Amino acid sequence: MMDVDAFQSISGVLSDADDARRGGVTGGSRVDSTGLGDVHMLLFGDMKQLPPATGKAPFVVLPLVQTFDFRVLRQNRRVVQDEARREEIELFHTILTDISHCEPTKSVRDFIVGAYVRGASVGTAEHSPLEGNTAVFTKRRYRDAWNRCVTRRISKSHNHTVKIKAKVRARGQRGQNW
Amino acid sequence: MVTTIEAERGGEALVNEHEGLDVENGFGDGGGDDARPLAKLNARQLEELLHERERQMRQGGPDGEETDQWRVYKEIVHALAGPTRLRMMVQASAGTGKSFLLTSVYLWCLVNTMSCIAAAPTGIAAANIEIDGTDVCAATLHNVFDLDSEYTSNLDFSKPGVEKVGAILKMKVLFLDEARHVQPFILCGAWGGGQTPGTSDKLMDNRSA
Repeated sequence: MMDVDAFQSISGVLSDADDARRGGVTGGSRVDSTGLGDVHMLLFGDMKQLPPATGKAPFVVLPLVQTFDFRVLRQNRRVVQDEARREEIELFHTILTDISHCEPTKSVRDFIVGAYVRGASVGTAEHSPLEGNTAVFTKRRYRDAWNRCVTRRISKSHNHTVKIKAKVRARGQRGQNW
Repeated sequence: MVTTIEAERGGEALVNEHEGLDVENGFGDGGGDDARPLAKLNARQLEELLHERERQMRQGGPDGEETDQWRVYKEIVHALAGPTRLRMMVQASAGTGKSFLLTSVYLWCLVNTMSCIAAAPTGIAAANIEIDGTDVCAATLHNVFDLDSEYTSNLDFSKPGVEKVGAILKMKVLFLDEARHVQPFILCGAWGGGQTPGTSDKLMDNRSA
């Protein structure tokens, strides 16, 4: 994550550097009207990743960044090590991309319905493969029960303890609503 | 010795490979073949590496079309060679080749002797940006811009002899990785919130780049 404050500080530094390059002249006729100076600037990131839950607003408009050209990489370029899973991985990538672009395609619908069905039967967590399956639940306690079971199975199969390093509670939530 | 495990990619990258391997960890004795520093690639080898990466970026487009990666790469290097200062944000979700694109453009800058700096918000993200045997690497934002905990920079541009100041004054290209949520494209564009005029159209027009 890059904090908005950090971005503003960087803009300030680049502006100062631009002044210094031009011999200490502050303001005046800059090479670049954005104030970022005489440098090419390329930002890379996944704007669809949610930021950590903090007291700050998760999305902030920076007028400066709105002047940037915006390009999107959509195609899956991941190197597939297990050739047998290529199709499955490609499909999963397509589904995630469609979801992120708010496109309720057939594959998205099938995926979500399938995930609900997987989580619906009692005891499926005991038999669910540890690769390739995602389950969705209507209630938090069902999800917790699934996670407990899968965590236990993973720790058993890999012969080490799996620890939960953090629990997150939404702002304003109290009690056990993790 | 700092070892960065890239579990997601199933590989390992050693941040300071040139210092040899840990004795305590049983990875080696620090003097064997494995501990030798990687030879720096010369100019010709850098060019060959760049061509190889360009070839990889061209491959794998749907139905023989250009890949997104190659199209954006071409646009970037064309702009870098031109007089206008490029301001570009590349949105890429996991597995779409964002880091490969970033390091390839960085490599292009090295081949074309263009001074550049790459930075990322965290050490882990910065360690992810590197190409073995080259100067392609990144540091944290705090390191590059000498930021304190309040995000105030301590760089003094009246002292160009200071290493960090000199590097920024020389810099022609700045790469910022993991620069997410500085802009609510997600709300105004893809999710139909419409809070920021113009950006949603921008997103839709360019999303296949």
